[in-house]
Amino acid sequence: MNANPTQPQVVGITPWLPWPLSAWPWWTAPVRAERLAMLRIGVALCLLFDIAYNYAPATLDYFSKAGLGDPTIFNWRFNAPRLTWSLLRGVGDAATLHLALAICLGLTGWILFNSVSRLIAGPDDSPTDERTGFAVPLWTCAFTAYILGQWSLMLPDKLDYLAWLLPLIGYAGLTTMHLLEYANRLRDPSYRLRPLMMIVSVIACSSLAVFGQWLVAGEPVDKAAGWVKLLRSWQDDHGLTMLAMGFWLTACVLLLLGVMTRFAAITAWLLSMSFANANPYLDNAGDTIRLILQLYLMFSPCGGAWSVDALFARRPGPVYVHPWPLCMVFVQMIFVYFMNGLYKLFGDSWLHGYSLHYVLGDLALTRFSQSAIPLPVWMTRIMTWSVLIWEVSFPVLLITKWTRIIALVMGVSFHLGIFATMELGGFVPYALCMYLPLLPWERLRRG
Amino acid sequence: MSAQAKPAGYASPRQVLLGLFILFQLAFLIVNNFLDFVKWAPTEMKGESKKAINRIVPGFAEEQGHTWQWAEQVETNVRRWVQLTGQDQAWALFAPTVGTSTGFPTVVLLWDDPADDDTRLPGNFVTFDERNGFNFCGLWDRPGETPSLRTHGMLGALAANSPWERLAFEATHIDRTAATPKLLLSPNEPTDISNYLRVGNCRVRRYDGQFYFNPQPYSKYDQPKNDPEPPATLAERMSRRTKRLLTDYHDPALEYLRWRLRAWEAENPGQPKPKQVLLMQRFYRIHGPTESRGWDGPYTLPIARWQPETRIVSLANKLEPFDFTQHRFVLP
Repeated sequence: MNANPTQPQVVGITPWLPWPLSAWPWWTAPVRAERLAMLRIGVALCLLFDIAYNYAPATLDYFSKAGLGDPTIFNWRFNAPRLTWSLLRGVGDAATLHLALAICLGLTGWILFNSVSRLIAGPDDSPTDERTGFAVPLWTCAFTAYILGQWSLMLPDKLDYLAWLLPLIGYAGLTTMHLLEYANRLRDPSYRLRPLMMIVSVIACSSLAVFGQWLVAGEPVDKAAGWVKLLRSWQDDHGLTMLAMGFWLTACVLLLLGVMTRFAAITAWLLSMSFANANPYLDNAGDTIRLILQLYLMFSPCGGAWSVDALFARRPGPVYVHPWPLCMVFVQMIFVYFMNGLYKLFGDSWLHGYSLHYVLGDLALTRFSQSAIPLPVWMTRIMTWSVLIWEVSFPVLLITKWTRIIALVMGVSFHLGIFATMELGGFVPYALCMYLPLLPWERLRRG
Repeated sequence: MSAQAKPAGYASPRQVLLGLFILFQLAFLIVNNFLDFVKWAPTEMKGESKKAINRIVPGFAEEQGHTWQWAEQVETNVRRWVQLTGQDQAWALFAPTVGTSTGFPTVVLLWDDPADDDTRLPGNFVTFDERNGFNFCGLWDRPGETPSLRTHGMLGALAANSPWERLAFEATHIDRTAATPKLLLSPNEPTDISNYLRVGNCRVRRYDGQFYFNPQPYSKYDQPKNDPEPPATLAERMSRRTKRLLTDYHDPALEYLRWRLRAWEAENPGQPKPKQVLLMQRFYRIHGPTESRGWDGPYTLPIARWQPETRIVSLANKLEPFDFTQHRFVLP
């Protein structure tokens, strides 16, 4: 990061990319952070409205036990070897438990690899220290989830020695990782340590070990106790289901405002995935677009501008980000339209031009009756063919500047047309979010 | 490495990891989208095209051979990443083709006790036409739709040849009205199909849309080469379809019926609990571009029955699918 106020500042990690991506400015030239920020704000606003209007009022009907999203309906989706997961099913759910263990082991390898290789190579032959220090907190969260999951599995019967031995093993591993970090610091005085995170992780691990020992040695656990409910499926308890919905809303508000943006983005994605998997019959392709956008936001410095975090960072000059998340969103957009077009080429109703006649007559989807605004058949045929041609040729239209503008304007019109005529939930707003980074939002910034 | 070599040139492990993530995502997008398409496209091909595919990639169009097996393996692994990250790449909005019909699940509450030796649908008559298929007219029909059984009972009374016949017709009518079924439309079904404005409720539509299937018979109207599908063949096909629907969606359908019943009970406190809860479909055929604008329907079709106070002891399934060949609900 450059401290000179006259120089633009680039936030986030510069990805290592091989040729030809590394030689392609579209993938490498930093872009203004406002574009990524606008993607964050757009997604958070749409999600906030979606939750408040569509999900939250019917939380218990959609997600709790004895509702449309009763966990037993979807048990099959969480069985091995599937990797579908939902935090709402509790830390003891097999999928969550195994994923927590896998994340924990993966992060252990990652942290050890970094520390040991830096220790062996020495400060002169090591790359610049540019860590965010997120690995240790993530490791702690995953490890805690794993231990709580283990306790939840033991609790129907009796907790045994593993209840304290597993946290103790984790504690030993964590101590080793921290010792290696100290060794690096001794070798290279400029090597940054994160004492607060280290202390919090050690306290968390040791607390789990001590609490585990207390559970094993102490009185039998009251299975109706409040903290025991927390370990089980949150869908079994109306209060906890509502609480999870509250967390989801809160995470969206934090993401919108850019408060602890990375944490908010991760939490919002985790909860979006959890609710989506808890009742997949509620969602459509728009919700898939939302999950994809949230995935990229989670990995990107989306709080670099227009956020509370940015206000506190007090960066004087214009802020830039690496363009990869925006490129990925654009590539995803190409696939959305092109694949739609490709499949449509096999449909007689698209080739004959009658698709939109039927779509606009669908009583289950349309916003108003076809009788109210009867479009002539010739017009729906032209519209049908226009959509087909636009979708199939979308990648080609992007090659030159003017055709690109036409393709994108048509895309926005297409979505607005769908929004005016059809009730497809969040499909249109989330799809339009993909267009947000294409606009020069930085011009709104004064100075 | 010389001592002068500057470490600034190295990419850090995090940079490499992020780069690998980007590359992986790009590969994932390409493989997932095109693999799905390449596997699906031969199923839509016929004759020479299919033969040509089989010559280029032996056995592929028949879902056999090395390439097909490899594709299956890759798809399975890619699917795990989709499940882990929620990046489903099924981009086919209204594709490859669009429906020429639409429909809504409907719940009918009955207070009749089903007779032990007769599990037929109480009080209905069935019509059939070669374009729209079956229509189960019954006491549940809404005013202004197809003539209800009650109307038929009254007309029958008018047509009686003797006082005894008239008494018999009226007795049937009175007996039927004693327990009037309650029809609960889907929250998404417009009460007036020619004039409505739909805002919201898309989540419930997605959920109850799982229970919809097209009940139209094959006819020359869809494909000029088609022979009209006889009622008996359609009945067999529809029976298989309801059974498959309950195999795939038994638990969601049961929860849907429970949910609708709970909502009705909350709105009607103190009412006796219905003995039978029927999952039905109200189907509309959208007029084609060469017809006058509008819809045929609604045509009502039974899908399944739930008896809230009766346990089907020997089976886990609580819903009985409707058998169109026998015109009755059958044990699952």
